Order: sequence, then C-alpha cells, then structure tokens
Amino acid sequence: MKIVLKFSQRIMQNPLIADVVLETGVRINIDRAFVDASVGEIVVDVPDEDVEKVAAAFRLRGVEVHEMVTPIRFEEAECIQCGACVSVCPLEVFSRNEDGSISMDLKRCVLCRTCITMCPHGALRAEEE
Amino acid sequence: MPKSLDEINERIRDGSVYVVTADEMPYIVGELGAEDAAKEVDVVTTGTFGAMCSSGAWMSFGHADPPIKMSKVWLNDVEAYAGVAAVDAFIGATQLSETRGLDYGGAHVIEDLVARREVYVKAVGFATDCYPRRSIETALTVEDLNEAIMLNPRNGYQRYNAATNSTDKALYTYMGTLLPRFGNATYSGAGVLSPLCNDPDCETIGVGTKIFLCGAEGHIVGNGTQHDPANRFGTLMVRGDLKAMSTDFLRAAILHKYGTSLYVGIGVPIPVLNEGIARKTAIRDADILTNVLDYGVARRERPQLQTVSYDELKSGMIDLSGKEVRTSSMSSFFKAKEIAVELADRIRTGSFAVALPTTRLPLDAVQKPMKQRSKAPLVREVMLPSITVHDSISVQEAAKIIIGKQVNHLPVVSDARKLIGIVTAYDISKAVALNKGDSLKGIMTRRVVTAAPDEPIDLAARRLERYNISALPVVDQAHAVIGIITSEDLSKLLACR
Ligand code: SF4
Ligand code: SF4
Repeated sequence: MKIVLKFSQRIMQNPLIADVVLETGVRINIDRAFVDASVGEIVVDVPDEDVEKVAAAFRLRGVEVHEMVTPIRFEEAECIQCGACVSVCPLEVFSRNEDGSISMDLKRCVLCRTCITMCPHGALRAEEE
Repeated sequence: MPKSLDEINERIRDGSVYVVTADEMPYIVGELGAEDAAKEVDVVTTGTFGAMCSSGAWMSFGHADPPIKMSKVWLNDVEAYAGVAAVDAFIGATQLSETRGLDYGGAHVIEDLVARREVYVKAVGFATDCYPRRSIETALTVEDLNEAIMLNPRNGYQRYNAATNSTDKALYTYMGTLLPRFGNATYSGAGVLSPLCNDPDCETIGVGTKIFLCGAEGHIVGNGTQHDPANRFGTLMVRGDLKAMSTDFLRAAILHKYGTSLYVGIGVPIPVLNEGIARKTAIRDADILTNVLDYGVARRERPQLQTVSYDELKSGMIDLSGKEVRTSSMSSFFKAKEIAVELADRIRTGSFAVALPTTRLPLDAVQKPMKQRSKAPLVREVMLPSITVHDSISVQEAAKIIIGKQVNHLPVVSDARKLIGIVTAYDISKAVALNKGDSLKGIMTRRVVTAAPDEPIDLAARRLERYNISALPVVDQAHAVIGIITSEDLSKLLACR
C-alpha cells in the first residue's frame, strides 16, 4: 500500500526513513519525494501487512501519515479520451483500448504529476488540489 | 455503375440509404470488392477531433446606445480582433488572456460561449461624430450576440507529423510534453477516419460541402491555409453556427507551457458515387504514413527520424531505430468515431442531406517558407574567442585566469583539446571558501550545455534560458572548443534586432 509522509522542516534533518527501516525491519520503497525549504512530502510503498507498524513508527517521529487512496482525481466529464496521458506516465497507469478509449489503473499512481500537465482538458488533478 | 447525388439524397429521404463509418469500409471493400461496395454503400462518414489551433469565431455584438466603434475588444480579458467596422470582432483560439496567462485563452471563451456561460466584454474606441462613445463594459451569453459564427482558417489536417525529443530535457510543445531522450512520441490525426485521407483527391470534399461541425451543421468554405495536398497535407477552412454547437464536440485545450488551442470536432460525409471513391475510402491506418520529427531541433526543417503508419502509432509503441518508444495521441480517436457515428445517424434519419462541392479544392497548392529579409545570425558570427584551461591546472591557477582575463566562464579541455567540463567564477570562489581541494577536475561541471557554430543565435538564447545558465561554449564536430557565447552578449544582440 502507498502512504504519504508529510513532515516539517524541523525534523527534515533526521534520517527518518533509515531509522524506521532499521527499527521495523520492513522494506520500504520510495516512490516519490518532494522536499523544499519548509516541508517534505514522500510517497512510500509498504507491504500491506506492515502498514500499521510503519505508520506508527513514523508518527512517533512527528511525521504526518496519510493513506494514499486515489492520488490522482479523474473527472470523466472533462476527459476527451485523447490519450495524451498514455505515453508520459512512468507507471503505465493509462492504456488505450482498441476503440481509442482510455483505461486507467490509478492504484499504481505515485503522483509524479506529469499526466496532470499533459492532460489538455484538466481531467486529471491531484486529489488535494 | 456510377450513382448520382440525387439518387443518394432520394434514399436519404425515403430512409433506404446505406451509411457506414470510414473505418468499416476496408472490410466491406475487402469482402465485396470496390465495384459492389460502391453499389451497396451510399455514404461513408468520416470524423476527426483534434486540437486545431487555427480556429476562431466571428461575433457581432449589436449597437450600444450611444453607439461605439470598437477598436479594441476583450472577452474575459482575451483580446479579439476588432478592425472590421464598429461592432464585429474575431476571437482566435490561441490568443491568451491578458490576466490569466497560459491557462485561459480564446479557445476557452469559445467553449464558454458554446456552454452558454456568461462572458465579460470590454471594448474601447475613439469618438467620432457618428460613434460618440469611447468605452463600454458588459456581460453577455452567446444568445445575446446577433451572430456567432465559427470560422476556422485551417482545420482537418489530412495527417500530421509525429513528435519526439532527442535532447536531455523535457520539451513542452503544441504536441504535448515530449520526454527527454526519446522518452515518448506524440501524434495527432484520426487516421482511418480522417476526412481528407478518405478523399485525398478532393472529389467530394470541396467548397460548399456540408459537414458536421462541433455538433452543428457547417460548411467547407475552401481549402485551409497551408493546404498542401500534393504532399498529403491537405487542410480545410470551415464555417458553422456557434449557437448550434455543443461542448460534446468542442473543447478548449491547455497545452502546458505552450498555450491554448481548441478541440474541434468535424465530420464529413463522402457520397460513394463510383467505384473509385469506394476504393479510396477503404484506406486503412496501415496505409497512412507520417514522419516522426525530432522536436529537439527547433528549426523549420526538423530532422525526420523515421516513417511510421497510424497503425503503428495507435499500437502504443513505435520502434525508433531499435528503441521502443511509447506513443500518445493528442487528438481523440474515440471522439472522432463518435462524430462519424453521429453524422451517420443524422443521415439515416433524414436530418442531414449530402451536397456536392460547387468548386473543387486546389490540388496543386504549394507551400513556401516565409520570405525573410535578413537571415537569422548564426552562432559562429557572434561568438567570441574563448579562453580554455587544461584539466590539470589547480583551482588557484584558474582563479588567477578568471581575474586576470576578466571572464566568468572557463571551459575545461582535455589533452586532445576536447571539452570535458566548465567552471565559473562562482564555482571557484565556492571552492576557495570551502577549502575544497586543489584540482579543477573535482569542482568542474561535467555535463556542459553547448552551442553549435552553425545554429541561429535564437536557439542558443532559448537554451540559455531553458537551462538557466549564462554561457555556452561553442564546440565543433570533434567537440573541440572554438568559442563562447554569453547571455550578456546575446541579449545585447537580440535587443537591437
Ligand atoms: S501522476 Fe500521472 S503520470 Fe504520474 S504516476 Fe500518477 S498517473 Fe502516472
Ligand atoms: S490526457 Fe486527459 S483528456 Fe486525454 S485521455 Fe488522458 S485524462 Fe482524458
């Protein structure tokens, strides 16, 4: 399962992920990381059975933990079924069907945002926006 | 046996007409042969739904009291051209909002009008004896306009070049985001459903042909601009009533870091008058070829990397000299098919009669490049000699050269005089301040962005901007440094052009 970690600049200096991996012994995969001067946001993939343990370890260190359900919001009414999103997604979330319509498997999304800017009619947005 | 248009329209009237969409024709002709297919099928409908930048609408506002001769007019802060009498204006799809940047443009105004949303209008003019008013502000919907006529100078491209990117940075173009190092390729066009691909000799598509335009009934006015049928790049100029259009078949587009465009839905019926027309409408995606161009080279003649068919493009993956490259369509085939089906239904139910052109479109139009009075200067003509240093010198020695020669950038070269890195005055002072060793090799930037001597300076300027750097070493084919070009020198040059 993918979870979103949000942390403030105050704790950014600590090797948070390394500490949690060492403590829990769970293999965590970093999907995406965004860090600037004031906040950090990291999306990690954690085996389903270990999510609670890992989340607790992060919370203990002052990190906000959210479950990432469908990170990209798809508004069907805005979609013109062009398929522009298909080739830019690194996780191959989108695919083109025989009739030209587009299917998507948003569970795989890591919120890299490439498709959001590629989409010509604003059908894809980040959930929090 | 040739069929007349009257016979076809008679069948439309009595409900016995046989209409198919263009993607069905290859199978029908494959099964029956062209001769029998021409007897069976009366009309083939085509469709396309793509971002067509060369689109817009004429609007007539009616007179205010006291009246104004509008010389400039804005709709939702997007300027429309008003240099035609007092209250008429043309809004173009790619004209951008003066307040909302790249995210709102003429295309959105048109979509707002078609969606019957209110649009804010502002106009100014100079006072005359007959038009005393100087400015006006109001809000209106499409119903408040006397006329709202879509008139698109260039739509329905027969086919379009596919785009990819050889450089190591993403490019944001009218063909969408092109990922670095051939990360993807994008294309446009409906292929098998494309109107002009099904009538490449413009036998039934011409001046006066009745078409489906964004849900309304429209007409072909003539050939589009840049019409180049000999090279299978034919285009159409189309017209239709904006008030009768639907946002199901018209949408504004935002192309990231490029601007706005308009998705236009066009359907053209092709009456199957004879065997030859039946055969031409049997064209398949595999028969329609186009070129893959490298948009990494921002010149008029972009390098043609390969020829591919729409069949390959639609498969989602093309092979670019051994590398598998994923493809995306910028136009919607799904919508194109919806349009072809909708048009077929209208013909079947008798609400859309088919007309032949009054005048044929030119088949010999030639497109020439823009006449330029002066050639864009080349990098070699404006570059300055560059001081280079060998990678074996120390940071201290480099610092001396930078101060002594009053330069900011020092290209670093190998024994063979090949460029291997660059250091800036900033790198040097940082190294000194942090006491960071002695060797230039340890502090230089190794991935150097360069310029070629025979490229126009505008390309070098754009590169400086994109990489946010201030100088480009100029290298020859052997990667030896032959000069340097700085943003300071360039901006002086570009400013006085
Ligand atoms: S944000 Fe879009 S492009 Fe990126 S992983 Fe998610 S679906 Fe794919
Ligand atoms: S790019 Fe946007 S409009 Fe096009 S298919 Fe994807 S989600 Fe739909």
